[in-house]
Amino acid sequence: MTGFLIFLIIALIVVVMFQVTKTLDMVSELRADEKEEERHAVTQGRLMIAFLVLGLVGFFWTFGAYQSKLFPQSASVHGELLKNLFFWTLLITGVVFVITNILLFVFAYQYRWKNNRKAEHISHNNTLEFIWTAIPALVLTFLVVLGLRAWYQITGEESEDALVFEVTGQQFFWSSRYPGPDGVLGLRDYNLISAENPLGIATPEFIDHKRVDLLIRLRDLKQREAALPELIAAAQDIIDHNPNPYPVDSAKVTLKALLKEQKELPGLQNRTRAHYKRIVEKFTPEYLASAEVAPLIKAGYDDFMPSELHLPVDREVVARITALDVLHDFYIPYMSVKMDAVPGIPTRFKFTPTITTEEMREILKDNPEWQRIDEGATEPRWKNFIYEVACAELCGKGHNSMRYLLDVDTEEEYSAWLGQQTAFFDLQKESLVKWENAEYAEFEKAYVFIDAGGHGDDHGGDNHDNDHSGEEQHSAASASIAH
Amino acid sequence: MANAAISKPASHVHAEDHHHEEHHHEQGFISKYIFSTDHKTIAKQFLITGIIWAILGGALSVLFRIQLGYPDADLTWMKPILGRWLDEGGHILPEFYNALITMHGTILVFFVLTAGLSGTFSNLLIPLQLGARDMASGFINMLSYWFFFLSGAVMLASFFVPTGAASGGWTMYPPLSALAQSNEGSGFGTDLWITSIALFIVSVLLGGLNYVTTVINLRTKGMSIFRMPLTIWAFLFTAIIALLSFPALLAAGVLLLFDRGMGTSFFLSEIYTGGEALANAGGSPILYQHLFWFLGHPEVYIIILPAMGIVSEVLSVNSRKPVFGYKAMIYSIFAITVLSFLVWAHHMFVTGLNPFLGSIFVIFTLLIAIPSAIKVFNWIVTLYKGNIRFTPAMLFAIGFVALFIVGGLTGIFLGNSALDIDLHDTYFVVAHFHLVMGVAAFFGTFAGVYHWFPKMYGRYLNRTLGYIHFWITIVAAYLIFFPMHFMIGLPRRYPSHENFQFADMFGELNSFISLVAIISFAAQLLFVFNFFYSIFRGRKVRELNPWGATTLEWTTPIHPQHGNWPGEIPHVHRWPYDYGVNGREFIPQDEPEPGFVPEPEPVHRDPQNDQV
Amino acid sequence: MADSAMTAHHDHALEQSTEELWSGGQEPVKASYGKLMMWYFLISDTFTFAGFLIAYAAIRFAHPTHSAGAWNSWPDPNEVFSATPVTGHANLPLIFVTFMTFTLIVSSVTMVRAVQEGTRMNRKGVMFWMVWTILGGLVFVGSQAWEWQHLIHEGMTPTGNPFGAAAFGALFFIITGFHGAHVSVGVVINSIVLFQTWIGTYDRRGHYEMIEKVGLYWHFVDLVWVYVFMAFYLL
Repeated sequence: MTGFLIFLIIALIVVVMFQVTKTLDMVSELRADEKEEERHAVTQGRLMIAFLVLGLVGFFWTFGAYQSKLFPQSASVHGELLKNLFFWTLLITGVVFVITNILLFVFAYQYRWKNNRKAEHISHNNTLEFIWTAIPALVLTFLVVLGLRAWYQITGEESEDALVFEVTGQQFFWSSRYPGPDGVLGLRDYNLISAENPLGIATPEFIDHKRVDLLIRLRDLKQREAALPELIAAAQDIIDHNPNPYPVDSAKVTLKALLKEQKELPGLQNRTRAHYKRIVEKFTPEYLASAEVAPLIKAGYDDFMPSELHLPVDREVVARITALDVLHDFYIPYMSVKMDAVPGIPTRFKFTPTITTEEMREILKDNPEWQRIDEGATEPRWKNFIYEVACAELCGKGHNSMRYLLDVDTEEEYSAWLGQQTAFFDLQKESLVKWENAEYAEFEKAYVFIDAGGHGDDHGGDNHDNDHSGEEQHSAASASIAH
Repeated sequence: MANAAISKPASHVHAEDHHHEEHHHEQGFISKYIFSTDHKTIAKQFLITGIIWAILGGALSVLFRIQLGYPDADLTWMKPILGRWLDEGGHILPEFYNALITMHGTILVFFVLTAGLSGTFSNLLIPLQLGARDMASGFINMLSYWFFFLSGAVMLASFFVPTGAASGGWTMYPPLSALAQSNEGSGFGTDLWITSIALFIVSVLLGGLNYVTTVINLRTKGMSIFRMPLTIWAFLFTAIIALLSFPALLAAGVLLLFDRGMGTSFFLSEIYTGGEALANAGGSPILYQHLFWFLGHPEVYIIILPAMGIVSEVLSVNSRKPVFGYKAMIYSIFAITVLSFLVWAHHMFVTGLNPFLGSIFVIFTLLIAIPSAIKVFNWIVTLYKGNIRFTPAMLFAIGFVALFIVGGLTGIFLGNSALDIDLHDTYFVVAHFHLVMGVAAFFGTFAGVYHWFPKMYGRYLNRTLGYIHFWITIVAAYLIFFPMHFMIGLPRRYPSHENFQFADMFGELNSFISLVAIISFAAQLLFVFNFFYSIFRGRKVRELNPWGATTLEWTTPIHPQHGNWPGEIPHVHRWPYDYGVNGREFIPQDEPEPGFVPEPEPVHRDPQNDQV
Repeated sequence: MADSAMTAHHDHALEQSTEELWSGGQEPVKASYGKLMMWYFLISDTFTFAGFLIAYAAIRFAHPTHSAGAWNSWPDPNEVFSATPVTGHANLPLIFVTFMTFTLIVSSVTMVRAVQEGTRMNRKGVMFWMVWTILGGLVFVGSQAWEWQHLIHEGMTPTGNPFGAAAFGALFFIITGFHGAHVSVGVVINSIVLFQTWIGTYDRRGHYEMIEKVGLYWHFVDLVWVYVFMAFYLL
């Protein structure tokens, strides 16, 4: 019924439009005389001038109207630099904008059609054209110089005593890691990520834990695979023999899910095995003991992972930015910090916060936008102000929910906060599992290197499995790591 | 392809002769309107298909503007169409929002403003303004349209995939677009997206080959390159850019398909997703971005150059003056063409790009502002001391210049890598590119459609509706996009902003923008109505040259047949901008100089002339 | 259209100045539109190959060289491509691919001869040399097929291989596959043209320009192979 009504209304509109247009055409045909073009010129010319005037008024008005929405002050050193650059660019482009628009619309009005007017044949003027090539070139040179100076300052090397921290984006939240007292971030590897080790910090304990984790998972998968035919048969049985519609329908759903699982299980097992082998191959005792890696492993023990960022004011900091799954972008709006987080390729951004959270609240107190009291809140906005971290690179359906908090502290507050932090490893060490060598060997034999003799099925089934090396090699590696 | 190419020069005489004698008056419907090789029909096919896509793409934007402006609106009544993409409260789901913006971008950039604009007017005007009977190869031209059509069909199909259409943004950055488990739309929808774009690339390349060869080889006698109207110069350089930039997207698309389906690691490395550490190692998501933007940036010039050409022509004809600085305009287009290939990484300033490399791209990017500025000043001075006829086409051309100014100036902010840190992926960017290559390119298209509609259909578009259309559209364009510049820190592609204190202060402004967007969409439907009404019922054209233009297309009959000129192809004796010389309002290009003695033509048979 | 212009200018083409050449009504670069299209297509196609080869370079330089001996180091071509169908696994590095390259280059030479005979309007000659060109193409594609199946048998897939970096296999299959597809298409087009020659289409048409056009394509495919060959087998 509604559909019909909508159709009817649309049809009616089209019919009316049709008649109106027909009439308009007839009228213009009737009124078509030598004065027609002049009449249009008068109306349209006036509209042009009206548009210009209203437009310019609107242009200046918006600057005033949205003043309070713009952030009053940059809270970082380079942010102020950018504000300055923005101002110069705005000034120059603003002048060009106003002048060119006035010329455009005033010319349009001034030289509107008159039957007795003769257009002048002006084809070019080299001097004029040279001038308006040269002026933009000069102005742009100025802006490029200004811009690149800021750019090199922002992207340049950090100072020796800059504070390092790490942020990691994943769907759909941020997490952070601080280096602890030694000031060095420990080694990470995405292969070691587990519930107990969400960033994959690489220490021998975490490596062992992940190995156990994967071996148990492989066992469970194998058991599940063995159990599936029975479950499938049971579901099939209900479908075949039960006259009652309800259990049949639900059994059909179950059966579909089970068959899908059965189809996917071999691939999943292959991938998990490959994952296990990657760990064993990479983290050999030689690798862990090598001169580049050993200090980084050691540095990982005191790293801590707070639930929100804290930074000391007026100290240069460097964010090491990483991502686990897809592209993200580490964005602190008030500090002009923005840098993509790329899986596999860590990026960095250097900045110096200049205003503590408390100070910023005081600054915002006078801003009408921040005096508002939000729905359900009792206090005005500025009282709850805290620096926010957002994601500025489309990362999926939760892109707009990647909120993370940043508190800028005074030096004393920061030290106090540091004192409260516990190393992540210490928090987790109770829950980490380590097996005896014999256990590893038994599970590996049963679930990882199962195709030692036959080989050949390794390439079939799943494309993600990139393991094609000889079996002895794996066993050797795994044996050596276990010792 | 090669087969079609040969059949023309020699077999032309036999085939066309036969063709004209037998079927001149009763050409079959299919060969005349569907599988036509007539460049004018193909142009109309491109235009109408483009309009249909524009309506769809616009409707998508209305949907996500509703979400942004009225996040509490209950859309349950749209359940029959949107189905499972609404939650229980009738709100658009975030994954659907992402699909909406992705498809809006893809459709508008590729299908509407590339195929619909350059496809339409290159096809229509290149042969007509150069004095050619048709494109170099009518068959390849037809293929170009049908590949476009097929590409559209595939894209349309992706809306009906259970996991939804592609939703990784029109740039389709991996890993999001490569991993089906990371994003609903990255399932089969993205495979269809890549397939569709691959077909589209074939269409663009086939079209481009034709445009370039036609301009080089098929100009009529006397049409030296510096007598070509600026439209043709623009189309020529557009085609050259397209031929050189689209292949990079093709390569990127193929590699992406392999990453998606074959487990390769071109763009993937060290990824942990869905509780699993993937085996992929050694690839780089940034590599994709380089390949993509090697197309992506030239693409915006593929969109804007034809609009610039059309605007130059329309401004000149309706000011009754030559376009100011004809040669400077050509050199500017040339400079833009060259520079367009050297600036792609300015889209990647915050990807961890090497700072020195970044500064090179800053310099090249801001260099583009110079030829752009020259063009703007030249357009403005073209109006100076003219006698301006405010046809709807002229209004849209003036509007184009205004929009190009504001959009171009904000480009100076974005091209500066340091400022881009603040502005990247915020609403400032959205405002910038919508003004400079979205709405401005549309204005160029509208100028072209209003101006050349009489040539296409032998009727006029209704002028009053044209005026209403123009004023609503230009006012709306400013009301929508100008305030967006002030949402300076607001990240784009957020379905809602309530999660953030810093972002949650534009509610009223967003509602206002959405309201204007819906009104302006309705105004476009007014144009669509005008278009289809006027094809059948519009005021008839009664004179050959209704705008008093100098170019050759107005020397053809009001309803030109395949072959364009019933008699000899006119020869050209002067440049296209002889307005206000020798005490005359204008002198057509085919009018000889006084005292011109034609050199004796060698005898030859022109099959089409024999018909008369 | 174009043909009238062609006859008009052919007589005094030699003494024309550049300005006159570009003045309209003729073919300024003295090439028919078909040939021009082929040229532009090839330029465009060059960019597609360039896209792939740039991806190759970017990924390759992100890996350690084969002398590093790490698990993800780039494979040593001398080790990967050391078998031939005749000798099997004998250690003959790059012998087979040298043969393939030689075949393709020779087929380019025979193509030149075919074009030459075409300008002389010698139908028999064209057919003779086209047959050899097609054979050369077939041998090349066949060799490539053998090499693919050999490498697949060795365990090389798009996701991994026993020689080193996984990306090597993926790039190898995509780029040589893309090139092989070009050669195959070339063989098909050449066969069609051979057939057309045989039934006398070009004699009736009065010129053998078609041979020149497919010749351009064939030389391009040959030229691209040199780069592909360099990337995978030599560097």
